Amino acid sequence: MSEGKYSHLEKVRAMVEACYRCGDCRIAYRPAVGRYQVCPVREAVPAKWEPFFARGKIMLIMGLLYGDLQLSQELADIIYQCTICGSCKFICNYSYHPSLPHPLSQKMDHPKIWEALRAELVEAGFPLPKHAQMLAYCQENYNPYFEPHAERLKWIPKGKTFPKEADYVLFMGCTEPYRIPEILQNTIRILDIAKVNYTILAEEEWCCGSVALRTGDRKIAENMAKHNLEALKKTKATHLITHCAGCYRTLKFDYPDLLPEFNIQVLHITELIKDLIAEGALQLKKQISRKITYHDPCHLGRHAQIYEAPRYILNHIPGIDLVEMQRIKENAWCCGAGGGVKSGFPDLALQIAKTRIQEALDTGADAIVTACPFCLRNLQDAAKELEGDQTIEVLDLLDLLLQAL
Amino acid sequence: MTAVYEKLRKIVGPDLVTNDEYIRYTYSKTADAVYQHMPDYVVRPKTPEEVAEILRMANQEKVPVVPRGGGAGLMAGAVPHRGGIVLDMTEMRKIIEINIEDQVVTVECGITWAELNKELYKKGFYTGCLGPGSGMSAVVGGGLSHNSVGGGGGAKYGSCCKHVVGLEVVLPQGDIINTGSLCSKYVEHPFSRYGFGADYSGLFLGDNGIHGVKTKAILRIYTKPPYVAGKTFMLKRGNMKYGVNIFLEWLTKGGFGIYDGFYFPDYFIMGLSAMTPPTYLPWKDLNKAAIFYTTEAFSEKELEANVESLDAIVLKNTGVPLGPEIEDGNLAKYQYGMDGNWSFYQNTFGVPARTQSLTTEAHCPVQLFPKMVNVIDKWSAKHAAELTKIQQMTGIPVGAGCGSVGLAGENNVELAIGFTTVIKPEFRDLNIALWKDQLDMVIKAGAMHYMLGYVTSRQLVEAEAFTDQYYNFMKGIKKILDPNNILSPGKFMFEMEGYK
Repeated sequence: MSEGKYSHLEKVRAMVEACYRCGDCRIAYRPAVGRYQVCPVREAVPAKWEPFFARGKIMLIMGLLYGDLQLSQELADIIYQCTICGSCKFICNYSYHPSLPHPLSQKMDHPKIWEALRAELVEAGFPLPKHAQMLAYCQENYNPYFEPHAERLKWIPKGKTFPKEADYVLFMGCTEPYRIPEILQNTIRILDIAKVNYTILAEEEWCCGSVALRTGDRKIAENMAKHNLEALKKTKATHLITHCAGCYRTLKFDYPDLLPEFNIQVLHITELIKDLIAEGALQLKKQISRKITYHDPCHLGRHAQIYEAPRYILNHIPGIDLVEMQRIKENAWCCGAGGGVKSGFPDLALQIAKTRIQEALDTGADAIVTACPFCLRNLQDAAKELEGDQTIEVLDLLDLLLQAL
Repeated sequence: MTAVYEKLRKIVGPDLVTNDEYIRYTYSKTADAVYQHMPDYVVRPKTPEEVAEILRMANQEKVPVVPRGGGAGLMAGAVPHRGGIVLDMTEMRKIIEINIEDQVVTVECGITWAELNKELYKKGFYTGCLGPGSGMSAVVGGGLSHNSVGGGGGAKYGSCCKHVVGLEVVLPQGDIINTGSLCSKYVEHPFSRYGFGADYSGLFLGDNGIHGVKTKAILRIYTKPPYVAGKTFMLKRGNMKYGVNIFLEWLTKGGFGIYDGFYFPDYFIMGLSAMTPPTYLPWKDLNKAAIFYTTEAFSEKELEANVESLDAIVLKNTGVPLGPEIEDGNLAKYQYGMDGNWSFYQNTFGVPARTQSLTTEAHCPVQLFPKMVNVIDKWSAKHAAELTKIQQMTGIPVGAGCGSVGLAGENNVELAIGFTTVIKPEFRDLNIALWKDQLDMVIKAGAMHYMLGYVTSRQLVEAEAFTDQYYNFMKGIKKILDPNNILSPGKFMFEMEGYK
């Protein structure tokens, strides 16, 4: 027995011991509710051993808790091959009907279990080396992209200024300023058109801590969160908005957990835009005659249940024909990038994304639209790889929206 | 690297065999709560020929082999109790042919019942009995090894073995045979379970994996009727005799297209309702027994007639309809419409969330189910002190009883009986003792277990359920097929040399 040896796992012990190993998390099909398979990693890896889906990982944790197994680098190499997409949570005794709130499905939180295990691995000195390098850099320079902190604001168009205080703070994140600045540029154009009173934290913004949390380094995440909260207080903002789904999940759900005094309202940009359209502050007038499909980012969908706001926006763009993929919302297939997989196992991330791109192609759409920079990049990489037979454009939702304004 | 490992690598290639401690650990348990043993190797064969080579090698090296499908069994059937090789059969999951003209499907046995039926639904067909209640994860091979039922269609089609038209089996010494009509070299398409002579398909059905490794199955498929109705009733009187009366009358008056029929004792419903949150909100304040049916038909008129006849029988046995929608308490509509007909039993296992179930589920004739439930009450009284001790030490409520009672073909019901307990290692021995005693009492009350695995197959021997002549007959067959006892040793107390 290892009673008390693993402080993070002890917090999720009740969930781990509740798993009765039915194995629905392996390959369940429930056509009546749109569920086709469960674990994107299991389906992508060549040898589909038990630890490559939820039941096996839970068994490993039981092995640690009962003293049968020990933490090691070999274990880390298995455990980090998981995107923490949460698909397993939504098959585990999940009824799909509000009249049947199965007690176990209410209690189980698989992403939380996987993150607890990763926290143990990191504290025991077994992070994935690539993650460790990334986080070491992040600690010094506040971003995981090996970029100078000073360049975080390079994306800002010349002449654009931001007030010191505002109702809303636009949280930039790391991926967009350093890798896809157009998204932020589009975001501020939309906010300006709608006359939203907003500002940014500018050079005071650090990485939100998502990368650290997902890969198991809670201390770094906590430092980032504390700093960002202090910066936020200075703006006197009541709302925090972000386009990045990873930042959104972290700010909305992890910050209140890490910092009990954090009480600012967090909105994803699609939630705000939906309201702005409904209020008439954004008028979508231009016709865009395209057949598109929408990819639910895991951090926005399963982690935060934001399924309708992006679809509301797309359905309000004149001329857009939104066709759904076979697997959507809580059943959506992950893009493959999350949970540190893109940095730790890039081939695996790409393999999973190719499956999703194929699913989008099967709809006959000419573009797959998403609302997460991480999904966007990984799906774009996969679309490039698949080019030749069929092509599909991978677009950020705001790209389309701006065309319609 | 051991010689066995090296040989396995040569047979299946380096990627599909492992001796990694972490991976092996995850194959040390199935869905029962207490039995666990590490395999030495896990292999994922891709073809029957690979399975055959593995078995030949295992005979040479005297290494135990245990086949594993979805790993969803409740009787530790796929736990490698004597170590050795676990054959993870889930790599072999192709649908080889859906033959509409002959109304059969040929599949590799590692496919799940849900995946298979997903494809059949597209063509307007299904397998009738949808396999076990764990059919979203359980595979065809496991269902046939356990003669499973509970995954939908039990009332109309009985258990899944009934629909077998033939098998491809790798015998324990490595020979590959086809049973049924394909035993003839001159038959091109399978059409009959019986080959020339005895029912050799039956030798491998419900065998709990001791006679061979099933690699392909040919199953009868049925047209899925387009018209479906389902109703749920509260029974005003708690006495189980009303449930018995309804089931018997439904069956003896012709069945009325009944696809599934389930009875829920009042205390089971109260238990579901006492959970946080209540498992089924419309039943929260029901506090009564309930019963539901689903019925299928090929025309609207036939469906209406079925419903009228089924309803009349329930109504005269104190039944009160709960309304048409899932939100009204009509669980039948949920089961047939939304859950794919697989998850009902399975989900009741996870209901307590802090405890796990050790199940004693079995078949018995309809009229005997109140007696079986009474056995569980006697068991609870007999072990009240032990159950109280676990509860006091953990603060977690534990208990026993009968969950749902489902029609399971012929004049049988399937009883979801068992007990929930805390699975901490310190309670392992106590839990095993309690489980064995409950099995013993249910066996001696005259019930018939089907999913035997390691646990019940041994308990049957301990309970002296078999006559000496019958047990010797079983032993003789096993000896002919598997002289070294390498396949699933330990079940039915058939051991490899060197084990007790």
